[in-house]
Amino acid sequence: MSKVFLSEEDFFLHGSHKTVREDIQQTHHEPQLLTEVSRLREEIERLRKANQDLYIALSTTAEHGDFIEAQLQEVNEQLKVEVEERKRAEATLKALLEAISKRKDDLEIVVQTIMEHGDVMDTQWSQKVTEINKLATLDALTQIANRRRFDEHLDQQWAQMTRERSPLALILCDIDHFKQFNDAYGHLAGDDCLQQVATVLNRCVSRPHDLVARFGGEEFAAILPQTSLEGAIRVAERMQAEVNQLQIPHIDSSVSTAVTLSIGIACLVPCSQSSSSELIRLSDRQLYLAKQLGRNQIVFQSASLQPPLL
Amino acid sequence: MEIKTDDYRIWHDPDSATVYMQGLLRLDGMEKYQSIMDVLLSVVDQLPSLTIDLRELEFLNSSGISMLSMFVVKVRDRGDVNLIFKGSDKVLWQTKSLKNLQRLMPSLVLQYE
Repeated sequence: MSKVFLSEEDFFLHGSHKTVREDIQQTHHEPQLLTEVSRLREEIERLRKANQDLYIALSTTAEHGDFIEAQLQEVNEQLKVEVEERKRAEATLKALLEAISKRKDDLEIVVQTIMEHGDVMDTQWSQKVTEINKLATLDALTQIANRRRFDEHLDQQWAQMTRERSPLALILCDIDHFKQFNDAYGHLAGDDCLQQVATVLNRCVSRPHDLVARFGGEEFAAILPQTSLEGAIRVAERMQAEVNQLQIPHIDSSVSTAVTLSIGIACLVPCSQSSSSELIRLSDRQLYLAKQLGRNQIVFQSASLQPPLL
Repeated sequence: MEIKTDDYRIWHDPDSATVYMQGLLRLDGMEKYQSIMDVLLSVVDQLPSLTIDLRELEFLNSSGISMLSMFVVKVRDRGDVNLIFKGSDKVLWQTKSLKNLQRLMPSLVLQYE
């Protein structure tokens, strides 16, 4: 804090006082001297007042300076405290921001994980359903369509051919003397025979709506939509030839030294007044006749539900 | 310690420090998974290292993977636990989703068999 060390006397003009007194002595006799003295006294008085004013102004300024300095000091201290507080707040905010940022990153990963997991579970379920559907319609031993799939497909095609008024053919095949084959070669060889025959029969059809299925035991069936009796006979002849080419030995067969097929074919244009079981019945009848006539042959019939097909 | 239903089974084998999860976990919402989360947290509280064997967990729904994610975050924040997930490369979800859990906790060990 600054101090004012000036006293009021310091502001008296000593030098000027002395000069005035000498001037009075020297000009004692001169009338103008009095006037001058009077003027000088007034000047002294004015200067004294000016001096006092200056003293007051200086004192006021000095005190004001002290006050301002104190205020500045105080403000400075407050600012220092505020700066420290802000630094602490900034550090806290930074830590909070980092924590929030980390949590945000975590949540983004979790959300992505859940979304991708949902997708992959959908895929997994879908694969499972496909697998189950396949198992439900596939014959476990021969890996061709089973009886369930056969019934389902025959009903579908029966309805479709009814709408289209198109012929539907059904081939039923039976491995000749299969019981004797099993007795002679064992059931494992019997299973192998069924697998080989199923594979070649399945190869003999190629259109999307044709279906070869294991009908039961050693019997197989082929559903041939939009196929005339002539077309079905050609397929059956190919089946017979393919099985013959396998040359699976059959020592106890009465008709050949290798495995052979008896085949019955029926073909008709379906109608809504009848059902698909009629076609099965007719085919089965032809198969029976093929066996009765000595096996290893094809017997066929065109049915009369609709106008003649041939 | 064991939770067992017709669909799934979860149990802790203290000797191998392993929690086994088997079957189909399809609980409805995070709240239903709280009991499983509690089992995992109580086990991990006592151990420096924990293995979670998921190889026979065939299905896990979205709430389930969310629960596992939260568990991984809690273990990571603890900072002193070795966590191992055993998965099967024959179970599709395990080959995809477990890698994402590793993003939450880079030190997480994944073992596929």
